[in-house]
Order: sequence, then C-alpha cells, then structure tokens
Amino acid sequence: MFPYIKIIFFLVLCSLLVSCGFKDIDKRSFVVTIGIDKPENKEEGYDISLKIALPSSDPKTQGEEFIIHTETARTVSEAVRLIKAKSGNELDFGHMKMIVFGEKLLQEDITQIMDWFTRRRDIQKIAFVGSGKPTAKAILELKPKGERLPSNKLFLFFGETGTESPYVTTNYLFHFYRNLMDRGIDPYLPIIETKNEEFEITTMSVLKNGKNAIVLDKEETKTFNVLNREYDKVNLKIEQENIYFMLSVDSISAEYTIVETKNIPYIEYDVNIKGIIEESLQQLDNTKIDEYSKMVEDVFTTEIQNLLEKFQEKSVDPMGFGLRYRATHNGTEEAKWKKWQSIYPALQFRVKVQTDIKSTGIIE
Amino acid sequence: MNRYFHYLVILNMLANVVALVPKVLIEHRLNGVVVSIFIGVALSLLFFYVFANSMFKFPGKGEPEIIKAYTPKWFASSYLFIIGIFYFIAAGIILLTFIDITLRFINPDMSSLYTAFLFLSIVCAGALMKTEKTLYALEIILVISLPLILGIFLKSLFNPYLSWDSMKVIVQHSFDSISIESVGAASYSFVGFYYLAIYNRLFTEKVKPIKIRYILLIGIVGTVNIFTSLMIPIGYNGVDGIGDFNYPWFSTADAIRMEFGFIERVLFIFLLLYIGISIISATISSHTGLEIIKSVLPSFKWKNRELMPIIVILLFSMVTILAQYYLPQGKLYEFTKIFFIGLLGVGMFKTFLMIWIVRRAKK
Amino acid sequence: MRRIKSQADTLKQLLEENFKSTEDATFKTLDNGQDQIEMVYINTIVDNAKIHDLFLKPFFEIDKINKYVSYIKSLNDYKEYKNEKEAMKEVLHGAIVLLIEDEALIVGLKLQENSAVQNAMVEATIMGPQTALSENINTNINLIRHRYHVPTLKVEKPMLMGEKSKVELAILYDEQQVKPEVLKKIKNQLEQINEPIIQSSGELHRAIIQNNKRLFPHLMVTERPDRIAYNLSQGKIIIMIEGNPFVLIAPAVFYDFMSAMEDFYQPYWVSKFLISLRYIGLFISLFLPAAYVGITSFNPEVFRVQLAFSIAGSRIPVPYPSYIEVLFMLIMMEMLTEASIRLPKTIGPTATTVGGLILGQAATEAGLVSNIMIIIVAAVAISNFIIPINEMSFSMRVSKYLLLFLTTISGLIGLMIGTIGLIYYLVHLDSVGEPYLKLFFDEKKQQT
Repeated sequence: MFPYIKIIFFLVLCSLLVSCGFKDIDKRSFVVTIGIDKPENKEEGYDISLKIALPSSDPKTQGEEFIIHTETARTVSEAVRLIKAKSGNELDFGHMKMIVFGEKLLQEDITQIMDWFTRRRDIQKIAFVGSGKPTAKAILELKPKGERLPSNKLFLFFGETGTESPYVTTNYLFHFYRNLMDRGIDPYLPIIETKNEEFEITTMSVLKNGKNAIVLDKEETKTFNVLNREYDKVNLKIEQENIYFMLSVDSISAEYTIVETKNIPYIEYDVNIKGIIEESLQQLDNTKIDEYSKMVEDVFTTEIQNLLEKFQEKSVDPMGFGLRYRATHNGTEEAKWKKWQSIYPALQFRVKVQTDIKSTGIIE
Repeated sequence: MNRYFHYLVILNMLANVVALVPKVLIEHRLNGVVVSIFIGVALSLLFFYVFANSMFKFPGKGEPEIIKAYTPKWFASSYLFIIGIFYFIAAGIILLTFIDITLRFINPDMSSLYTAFLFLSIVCAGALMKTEKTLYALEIILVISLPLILGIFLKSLFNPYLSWDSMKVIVQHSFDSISIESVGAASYSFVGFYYLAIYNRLFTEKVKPIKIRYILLIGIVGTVNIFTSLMIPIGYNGVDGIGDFNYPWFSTADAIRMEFGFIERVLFIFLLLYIGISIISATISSHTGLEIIKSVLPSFKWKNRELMPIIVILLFSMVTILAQYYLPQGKLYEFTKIFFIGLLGVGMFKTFLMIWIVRRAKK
Repeated sequence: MRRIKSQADTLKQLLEENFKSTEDATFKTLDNGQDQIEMVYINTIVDNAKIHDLFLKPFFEIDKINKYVSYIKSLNDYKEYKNEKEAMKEVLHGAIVLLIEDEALIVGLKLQENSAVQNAMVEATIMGPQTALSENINTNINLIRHRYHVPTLKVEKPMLMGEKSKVELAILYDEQQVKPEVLKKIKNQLEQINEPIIQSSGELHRAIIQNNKRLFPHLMVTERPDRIAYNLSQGKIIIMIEGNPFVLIAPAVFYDFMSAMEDFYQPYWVSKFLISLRYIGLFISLFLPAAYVGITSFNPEVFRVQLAFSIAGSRIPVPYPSYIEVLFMLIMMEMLTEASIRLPKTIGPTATTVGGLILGQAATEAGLVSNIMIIIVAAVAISNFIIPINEMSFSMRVSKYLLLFLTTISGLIGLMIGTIGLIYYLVHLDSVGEPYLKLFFDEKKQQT
C-alpha cells in the first residue's frame, strides 16, 4: 500500500530536512598535490603549498593549468583555512594524490603533521608520499613537458600503471603512517629532485623517529626495492676485468629469518634470482653459465650485505626486522621491544644469493 | 536445508564490520584475542546447534508460538518482550553506527537527523513487509553485494603492502588474559540463527536436524570471517597504529587501490555495498523484533488496519533518533560491548529453555 | 404453445421498439405462399452475403415449415432462445432473430471487419514468428489453438465487459498447469469490475488490479501468439478482449517483463548474453542520471582524477546546478520519445534527428549543458528501449526520476536508499498472489 499521499509526504519531508551538501564539481577546486616545507626564517610552523588544478572547458588543453597557493601557519589546517580564503571555490582534497615533504622539514619529527592527514576523511589513504629536494614547493612548481593533468607525471611515476623502475620507491600514505607508528619498522620516502625541468626520482631516505636518518644512493635504492618488495623488473650489472653483462631478472624471492644463537644472533637472508642475460659486451659462452651465476651471486651478496649493515650502523630498520622479532617472540610488547633494541646493533647478516640464469638470451 | 537459512547466517557475518565487532576485537588485540575468538566460536556453535535444531522440530512455528504453548503466560509475555527488544537493539546499533559512518565518510555536510530519517524510513517500511518478502529482499541484496564484498576481502589479502608480521604479533598474544568482551564480539558473527525465531514460520517443511558437519562448516567460515575482520585492518594500519581508528575496516578499505578498476578508491564501493548490508540487516532484525513483540501486545485496529506494528516501529524510530543525540560514538561503543556480553547471556538462557521445551514437547 | 407464442410476440414488439428508429436495422417478412416468417437483424454487423444462402434459399426450397425449423436449428451458429434480454444482446452482437410461427430462433451471423492478422510491431523479433494477433477474438483463439494443441486448453467466455461497451471477453488456460486459486482469484476480480466502457487490455488491466495507483505493471500485455502459447504451458492465464490485438497474461512477475521471445530462439549463451545486456541497460537507464548528480555534486572523489577534471571542465560554462542540467536534458529526451510515437511514421525520423542531433549540439554550444551530459542522456535513452516489454520500460522511465530526486537532495546515500527502496517496493508487490520480484524463480522445489 503506497498511496500517493504517503510518497508526497515523504518527499516533502525529505526536502524540508535536507541541509546542504550539494556543491557542483565546477564549484570545487581540486587540490592535486600538497607540499609542506619548513619556513626559512621562523622556528615554528609550516609552509603549506597547495597545487590546485584549473580545469578548462576546452578538452584539448584540459587541466594543463594550475595555481599554487602557499601560506605559513602553525598547523596545516590553519594554513589550509588561509588558502581557502584566497580561492573562490571550495577546496576539495578528494583527489589529492601526492604529498611532498620538503627536505628540510624532515630534519625534525614529522609525526605531528601526519595527524592532519590521517584524521581528515577526504584525504586518500592511497595518496603517494615523497620528499622534495630542495623544497616541496619546487616540486610543485615544476611543469614537465607533455603533462596533461597537473602532477600527472608524478602519479605515473608512482602508480603502477605508468613507468616501472627499480629506482622509484613507491610509498602510500597509509603505509608510511603505519611504519611511522609501529615499533620495529621505520618508514621511508622517495626523494624527488628536479633536473632540467624534469623529475628525477632515483634515491630515497629512511626516517627514524619521524626524522630523516639516512639517504640511500641510486644503487642502494635499487637493492632496497629488490629486497623489500621483491621487485623483479630490474637489471643487475656485472662488471669485471674482462667481462661485462646485464642480467635481466625474471623473478626474485627474498626471505629472511632471525636466528637466535647463544652468542651472536644473526639474520639469514635468502635471495633467489632467476633471469636471463640481456646485454653483453663480449661473446658469452653457454657452457659457462654457472660461472656467470657465481659472479652475479658475489656481486649481489656484497650489495645486500653493505646495505643491511649501513642500516644497522645508523640503527634504522626499514625492512621491519624488529617487527618480525616481535611477531616471532613471546612476552609483553615492551619487554620484546627493549630486548630487540639491545640485539639489533650486534646482529650479523648472512646473505645467501642463489642465481639461476636461464639462458644467455636468444643469441650466444 | 533451506537456502534462505544460509542467507540469514551469512548476513551477520557480513554485518559484523558495521556492528563494531572489529573495533572491540582490536581494542583487545594484545589481550588474548585469538583464544577469546575460539571460545566465542565454540560457544555460539553450541547455541547454534541446540537452538536451530529445536526450532526445526516445530516446522512452521515461530518462537512466540512455541514459547506460548509450553510456558506459563506471565513468563512467555515477559520473555518474548525482552527478546524482542534485544532484536531492536541489534538493529539500532547497526543503524546508529552506519549513520555515523555515512556522515563521516560520505557526506559530512548532511544533517544527522535527516540521515537518520532516511535510513529509518526505509528500514521501517521494510520491517512492516510480510516475513517472506523480507527474505526475498535479503536474497537480492546479498546476491548483488556478496561477490563484490568477497572480492574486496580477497583483493585486500593479496596486497604487497599488507604486513603479515603485524598480524603475527597478535598471534603471539593468543594466551594472554581473555576478555569476555571479545568473546561476545566474536559470537556476534554467528547469531544469524536467532532470526529463526520468526523465520521458522516460513520453513514449513519438516527438515532433518542439522548435522555436526554443517556446524563445523559454519564454524570454519565464521572463524575465517572473524579473523579477516580483525587481522586485515591490523595488517594495513599496523599493530600499534590501528588503535586510533574509529572504523578500522573503512579506513582499511581506503588503503586498497584498484589500479584498473572503474572506481580507483575501493572505499566508495565498500561504503555503498555496506549501506545495503546494514539496511537489510537492520530490516531483518527489526522485523524479527517487531513480530515477536507483536505477539505479546494486544492488536489494535483502526479502519480495518492493524496499527500496533506501526506504533511499535514508530517507537523504535523515535528511540533511535533520540539515541543519536544521547549516545554519541564513544558511549554507543561502550553500550555495544555490554550488548555483546548480554548476547552471550541470552544465548545461554535460550539454549537451556529450548532444551527444556523440546523435552516437554516430547512427553 | 401459448407461452412461446406470447414470447415471440413480445420479443417482436421489443425489437421493434428498440430498433425501428435505427437505419441499419432490418425487419423482413418472408412469404413463400404457405408460411410467413419474420427476420430481424442489424445489417451492418451481420454477414449479408450469407443471408441469401443460409436463410432465403432454403426457405423457398423447403416446403414444410417444420423441416425448415429443424434446418435452422442444425445450423452452426444456432443459439437457443433464453429470454428477451438475452435475445436483444445477441442482436447487438450480430445475430439474426427468426420468428417462425410461435418460435423465436436465433442464429449468430457475425461479421467482423477486423479479423486480419497483423504484423508484430511492439514486440518485434528478428527470428521467430512475425505475426501478432488480430483484433477479432475468435481469430485470436484460432491462432492460439493452432499453436497449442492440448485437450486441456480451456476457453471460457464468462461475461461481457463494461456496462455500455459490452465487449466479449475470453479466458484461456491450460487446465492441467494452472493454479486453481489463481484462476479463482482472476475470475473474482473480473466479476468485480465496474466500469462503463472497457476497450483495451490496458484498461482491463487497470480495472482488474484493485489498487490502481500503481507504478509497475502487474499483468503482462502482449501481442505475440508464441508468447501466449509459452505462457499457457507455464500455467498462466490469458485474458482476451474483443477488438484488441493485445491480451493480458496473469500472473506476471518482474522477470517476465525482462524476457523477450527471442531468448528462446537464440543459442544458449547468446540469449544469456542478451538477458544480461538487458539488465545492464536497466541499471544504466535507472541509475546513470542519478549517479551523475550524486557524484558530480556530492562526491567527485569517486571518479578517477582524469574524468573528474574533464567533467569539471565541461561543466564550467554551464550556469545551472547539475540536477537542473540533468532534468532539462531528460525532459527534452522524453519529449522527443513521446513526439516520435505520436507523429506519423513519415515525419517521425525527421523529428528525432532534428531533436536529438541539433538540440544536443546546440545545447552544448550554448553552454546550457555539458558534453558529458549529452552522452549520459543518450545512453539513458538508448538503454531504456532495450527493455523488451514496453510497459516495464515506461515504469522504469518514471522510477528514474524518483531516484534522481532522492539523489539530488541527499547525494550517493540517497541513491543507495532509493535503490533499496525500489527493491523493497518491487519485492512487496504481488501479482495475483504471486510474489512479484524474487530471485531464482524457476526452482521447482521451493518451500517459501
């Protein structure tokens, strides 16, 4: 029984009760990227830069235009409020897919600033995070060629739909925040640099207690990505006296276990690599494939060993050894954490790399 | 076994995400939650077995008819009244929580009164339908949303950013102090069988009693379900960080990205699906509650139309809207915990009652 | 003897009173020398060509009047005289009344000019039967009998419809398949109809369903004999009405309106594909306008970023909020659809072209609506016509505005609530005691 009266009554009641949430898409300004810097002459507060896309009605030039508003304030939300006053439209953070922290900002603890990002409902937890060098604003201001949407190039770098490179470290906001909060694993950020009007993302920094602790160079970044994400779209370069070849990796598996012995605890790191030889400067011999494997293993073992020891030296832990320790041991969390902090500096790494070269490519 | 019975059982397993179950479990994540879950599962399976089998012994009859036939009148009326209110509370919790979720995640500018009005109008209309019609609606909504929700669960499992180590930390605390709250929360996923109290009226054919095998299957599915709703949020947000989240599952859904999907952010698909699940869950609960309470209240007719159900359902709406103002999120959460514990008590009582009634019926 | 005689006289008197003033009533007295008989009929509705052969010739050839009477009684369409009222009705339905001595004999000699079988227009199929029903009830029964050769097929003509129109009505059903309670219910409802004039199946449909403020069709209207035969075998009841090439099928549930007869004539997977296409079309036509408003005006973060920017870009010149834009285009589209139904076939295509192409193009250029909106409206219009039964597609056309309204005032939540409300409403409906919407219908072993 649904007579008209009821329906009309219902609809009228709906219209009476409704309060507005209605705001058309063209009355919103979409923030695509946020940049956070340390103000140059002030002790406290942040420089917040928002990159706002300006859609255009012509589909051909759509979204090439953008404006950047910067404000200085003690908190992010204050700065955002100031920027809101400057922009005619409602600021919409729903499409904010990139968060850039200025390099200088990372010299201090950034845990407090993360609060704003996690608390707001409209900020995607799958936004990419990165650190901008020299400043976040410089990254925002860069307009590389062939960019159809503001900041689209960055999205392509980090999103898995575009380039896939072992030098680009992708990190999402939720993942960054989780590593920041959890004891036993340290967060990392890719470093975005500008070079010749283009982006260069090849290095990364690892944070400790919300502060920048260590910056990895290009090759270390690659090794880290291979280990951490089992990233297999990677090439390994082997360069020795009379031999030079590139191994294109098909699949990688990297596993580790923490072994506690009586005297020195160690981590056993097993890496399995399968691949084919992609490029060589010399004639290669198919029968010597085992030899080549050995070379790869040697090179890669040292790379890994050096990287892990570098982490240990600076007592950072982006691989999450501490978390693994917590996951495999009994006791209260506090006690485990204290124990781990005493174990980690003395830990030994035993890296074992096994390589399986399937062929030398389609030629010898 | 009737397929509609399965739907009723599955419904609560899906609805637990909205019913604050993950939040309760996560709060106790370092307090022997694993063992608590297993205790909860075992207890509710026992209740399940006894209650469902005794109901099946009276084909075509609802709990009100059975209770009225075998117990004294004063007991039957007061018992049924309290039980009916329990169903309404279950519906109310789901509604209040989901209203809060919609306001936080979908449209913060909408007034909470209006949202409550929208949800309540649809739930009340649904609860006033005939019993079998609610089942048809349940079937349609489940068939549409179940595959998608399962897809999201699976998608969330195969994400490289999911931290298995964080989840394993929980397992390390399996045998720490067990809390009754998490036992109650774990049992919530299974209580779908209580809907039989009314829906048994439709199952008129004599069915064979439930086999242990079926109970085991339900137990496995339910355990997997509870562990997913506890573990995946921890895997995404970290064992230390997860405690800050009000709605762990919705924050988790926001961390899942579909690179090649029509909609990139899984959160919205998840939210829209869960509007459907919470509405149908609230509908089914309040319908059951309504039918039970109706059986003890006198009928009241005006112009040949039964008015009593409408009065009861309006009362329910009023209470829900008032609760929105007097039970803010924090208090609602405390209240839900008490409700979960109460659920255990009711389950215990009902089990003994049913055993006693079946004995009497045999004589 | 006296009784009949007086009745023949009163009948004659009654007929004369009623029909003398009508030009097309014929009162004829035949005289072959020995006997005199009288013939009364309305010459516009009887088969004039047969009168000579059937009545005049034998009358002058057969010498004995008794023999002639028994000849008349042996005729195919001879009907027994019951009372004057009945006889009057028969005359109005094309019968000839013969008054022979004391007796009144009635012979049906109906001539209908509408018995031509028409091509299926409304529910056309590519393969499968191409003809539909005629407007003649007997021809229609003939068509169906030829498709459904079962002794249990029952034809009942229980009553005449309408106080004034008095059109003939036939109920067809397969006695073996039909559910007796449904049949009883239908007959009951037919008896309760109290309308002066009923001329079409749609009108009858409205009259049968007591709650006539309905949005969705409860009975199916069809013109295809193959569909009728199929539905008979499914235990459904067919209600036919004189002078209408459409019949009613009862009970009808939601899925019936989504199925085309073509589904039976295609390979299995093809027909499954077509059916799913239809449901997708249904969803698009129902949800797309509402979803557009809900997403662009409430939650633009649902879109991919590229799409959000192109919609935002194309909306920049539009001065109105999104829901006015949508309403404006939708109503223009409805106008076009309605106009092309009413227009003569020769002008129809021109109107659609002018309306569709030029209006759409100009509206975007004038900045009244966005480009994306044109795509949405076109998609809605096209996908709406994919629903095979017209009545359902009309209902869905209306429901989409309800969803649009709810979404406009409450965003995506409104869209979801509206959808669930629609499901609840459909589930809540009954068609002659059968649940209207229910999944997995064809399952035989059902408990509930």
